[in-house]
Amino acid sequence: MRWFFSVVLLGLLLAFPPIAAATGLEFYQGLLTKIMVYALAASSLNLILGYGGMVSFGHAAYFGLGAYTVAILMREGVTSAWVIWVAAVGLSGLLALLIGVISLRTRGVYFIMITLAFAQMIYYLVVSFKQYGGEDGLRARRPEFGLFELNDTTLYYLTLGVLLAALYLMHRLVHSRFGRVLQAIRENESRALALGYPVFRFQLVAFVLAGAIAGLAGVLMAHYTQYVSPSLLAWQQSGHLLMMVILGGVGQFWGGVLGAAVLSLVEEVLQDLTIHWQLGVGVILLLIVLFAPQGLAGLLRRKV
Amino acid sequence: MSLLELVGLSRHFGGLLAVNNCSLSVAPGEIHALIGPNGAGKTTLINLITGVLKPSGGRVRFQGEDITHLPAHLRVHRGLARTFQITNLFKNQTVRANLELAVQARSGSSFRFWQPAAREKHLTEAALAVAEQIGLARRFEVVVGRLSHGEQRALEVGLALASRPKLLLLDEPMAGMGLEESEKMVELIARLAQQHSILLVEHDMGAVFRLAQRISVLVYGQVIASGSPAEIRANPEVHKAYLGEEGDTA
Amino acid sequence: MPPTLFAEQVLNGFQFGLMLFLLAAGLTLVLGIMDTINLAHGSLYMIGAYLTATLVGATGNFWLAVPLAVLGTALVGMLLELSVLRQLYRRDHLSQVLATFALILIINEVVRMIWGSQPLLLSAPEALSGPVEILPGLYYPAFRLVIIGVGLLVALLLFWLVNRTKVGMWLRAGASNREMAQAMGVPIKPLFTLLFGVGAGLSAIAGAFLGPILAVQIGMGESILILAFVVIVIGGIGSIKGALVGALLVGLMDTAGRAFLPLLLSQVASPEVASNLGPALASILIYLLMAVVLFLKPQGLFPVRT
Repeated sequence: MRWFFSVVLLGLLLAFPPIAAATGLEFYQGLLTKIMVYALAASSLNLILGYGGMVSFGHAAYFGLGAYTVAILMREGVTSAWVIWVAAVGLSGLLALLIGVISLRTRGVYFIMITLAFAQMIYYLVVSFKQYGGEDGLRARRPEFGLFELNDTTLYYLTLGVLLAALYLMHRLVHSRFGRVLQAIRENESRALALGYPVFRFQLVAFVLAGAIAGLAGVLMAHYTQYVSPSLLAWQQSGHLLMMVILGGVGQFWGGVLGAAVLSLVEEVLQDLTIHWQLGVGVILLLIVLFAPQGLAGLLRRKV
Repeated sequence: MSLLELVGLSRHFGGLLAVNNCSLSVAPGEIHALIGPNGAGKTTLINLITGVLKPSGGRVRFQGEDITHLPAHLRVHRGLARTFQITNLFKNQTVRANLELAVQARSGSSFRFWQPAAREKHLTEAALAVAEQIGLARRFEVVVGRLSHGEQRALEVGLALASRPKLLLLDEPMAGMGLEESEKMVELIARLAQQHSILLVEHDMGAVFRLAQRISVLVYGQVIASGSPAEIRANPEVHKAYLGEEGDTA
Repeated sequence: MPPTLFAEQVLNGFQFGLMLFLLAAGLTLVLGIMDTINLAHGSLYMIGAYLTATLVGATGNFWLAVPLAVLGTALVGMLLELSVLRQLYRRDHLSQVLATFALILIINEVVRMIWGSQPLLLSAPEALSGPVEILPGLYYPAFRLVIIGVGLLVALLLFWLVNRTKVGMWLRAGASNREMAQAMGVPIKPLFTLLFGVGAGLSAIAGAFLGPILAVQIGMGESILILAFVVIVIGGIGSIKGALVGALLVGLMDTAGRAFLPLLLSQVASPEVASNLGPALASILIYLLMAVVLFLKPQGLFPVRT
């Protein structure tokens, strides 16, 4: 039953752009692209949060860094998408390595604070570069792939492809030896250490992977909006990503995807209804945390 | 040559000297019991030996190698495995999953990201073998939360066994057990002693005097006596500090 | 660099630090005793500022407005505790972070609905708008001097409360070991609601006095909240003394950094780089300080828990 549903959904997603073009629903193609980008970012956070137990309140730093790399490199005359992609993902991963090496020596509320602090540092640093837009942000033109032109439709398929590939990789990761150990560490760290696992190393690898994937999501976001702003790096964005993961279901495989989809749709709907839409988002989040902490994926599981 | 040698090991927490200049050794093939009143520093000592805590002074030698500064996870690979005084298992997982994790740790690198771990049949086989050793083969697929206390304590030992250690550090394996369960545990330890050296921390004096070849007594962080069971039983210091308050021993 | 400018900035840092302390004190006790992260603490600071601004507008009297605003905010704080925060004590940190993050969103919007999106005007009382000559040749705004005075007074009151009263003893016991304190008969639940109210009141004082200097607008709580968290992490969670030391350190670094780093940088780099990078560096330095402290003393400067 679930297979059938998934295949139908995939088919719809693949067929959407031509349908949208024919029926004048291009706006929704853009919305879907945005949802898929957030699904990628949220899934990367779910990896370290849900599977690794690391409550990172600074994930926006990698997301934003990926986006800014696109804008800055394009501004500096680098137009090859291949180079930009490798650079952005590499830099995000490197940043995650640096931050992880220091932060993962802490635990609990200290870890939350220190990840937040590092993300703030990156935020302030980026804002201080007036030549790259400062507080106002920066245009991010779309680079060249050489094989095809990067327009709204090709971006849609590219994003879909990247998301599916990333999810597949995550699926294999979660069920691999590495995934087992990561989850064991989340469940009982002292036990994992007593079994002989170098806990720090496992957490760090997961942290870097998650950062790199978030960076890739940032790249796609920059391509989508063709504009980057410091709000991508702000702690509210980190909170936004955390919201998606808990909404979808922390530690549930589809948690990031579900959360991104539902939150984005809710935001769209609410934004049309009232300027006080953040109130609605806040209330929904509060209700979920208090009464449905397993998130939507958790609720669906119980029903199926 | 001793298997494990502690030389002048000390550890303080702020003003409190929890372990004070401890020296003891465990010979290969022996069961060495560590006894002492509550709060004497026995678990702290285990934590120092396993590397969970860093010593304030002194050295730890294992198989002749100075492991005082060796990271905790590497000590397991050298052949040192421990159980916890307060049951410390993966409670939401099955006995099988717990043991497989333990076996996996000694079966090559776990930095493998692609192949499903479930395909590695040898992990399951090895886990089952350990389960049989500790008498939990029939409970292999049961979630730990559903096991009885005695079964959980047995699994604690199983996790340590799975890493094929040379020295087993058992921290009060009989904690919270009734008569029947304790008896089973004593039999298990006796069986294990045929192939492993054991450092046994215990309060159950009956078990200690039945199993141990040598006994060290820890009081206020110091080893006040170390010797054969007969010597310890006869030692007046020990009586004063510990055994006397406990009443008769077996 | 003229010594008067230096002295002025030091005083500014001291003043900001004392206000930060008011925020940090409530936060550290909540986190220390109930192990609960409350991101909405900054929102209480905002409510305090908004209430003060409105009451000053209504009554024309700053000194009447402040105590009323503080009381109002304390009430809001206690209501929040009874309704939402109580449900979070047993939950994990992630849930607390998200739930209180949701509260920030909700409170921001409610404030927007009541007062609109434009910042409110809150001015210092007329009588205090001039400078005071505290040392020959050194002039300092009277209002800021008052802030320092209020801050010191409240700090002293807090120290007295925490160290010399029964309630304070309960608080310290709870911060050090909650289960034990409860077992010894400390009435944790009502104590906690009271604590929350007091914390909210303290934040309101900070909001009322910083309002004229910074701005009274939606979202003003967020940036200062992060600083407050940095303060308590540096100072040691659960420690009032740590909160004071941490707050003064951070306050001085922030103010002095913003004032002097651009000057320092302009010696080695171009003026535009200096003016851009300076404030950013000042912020970064604070986080670096936290990272260094955590590295050397992972439990903060004055740890309370054993």
